[in-house]
Amino acid sequence: MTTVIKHGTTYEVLAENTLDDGFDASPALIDNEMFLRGIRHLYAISQ
Amino acid sequence: MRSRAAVAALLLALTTLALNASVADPKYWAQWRGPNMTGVSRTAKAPIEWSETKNIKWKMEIPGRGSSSPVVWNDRIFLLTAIPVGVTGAAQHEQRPALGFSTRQREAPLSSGPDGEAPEVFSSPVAPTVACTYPVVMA
Repeated sequence: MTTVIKHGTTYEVLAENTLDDGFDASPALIDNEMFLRGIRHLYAISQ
Repeated sequence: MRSRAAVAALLLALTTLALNASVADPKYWAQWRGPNMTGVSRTAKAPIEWSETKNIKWKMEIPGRGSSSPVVWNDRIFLLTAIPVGVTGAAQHEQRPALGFSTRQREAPLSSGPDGEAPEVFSSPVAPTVACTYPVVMA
């Protein structure tokens, strides 16, 4: 699960997102996309 | 030790080149944790929420195993994965490290580099993340 928190001085959870994979790698962020490398899959996440 | 130190110095120089090319340009995430090695992008606007059915542009299977992070150079995504080659020996020697790449626009099978001997390694052969600077990828 990925917890998205707000950047700031107080702890505020914006979202908790779950995918069907396990993750050790760090994300890559470009434009409006985020690439997540899981154990079995590479995800392109974008709205 | 001497050769190991030389390798470390070389990698540092190459990393500096990648930094110079990528600091201000949003089209590059050329190394582990991005342009400043902080994991922070000042320009990207990724979704806040996602799931298997929400905000997934594409999803592709990665053959083999590995934990190196993806890097992006313009249109290309690079990562490392270890593909079993069927040789005997210690478990970590049975996999051939491969450099895979994909494109940002579509889901496509990973392409891999040339065949080669499996090197002697002491942990996962493909845990480190690659770094890019035109026109090379360093692994």
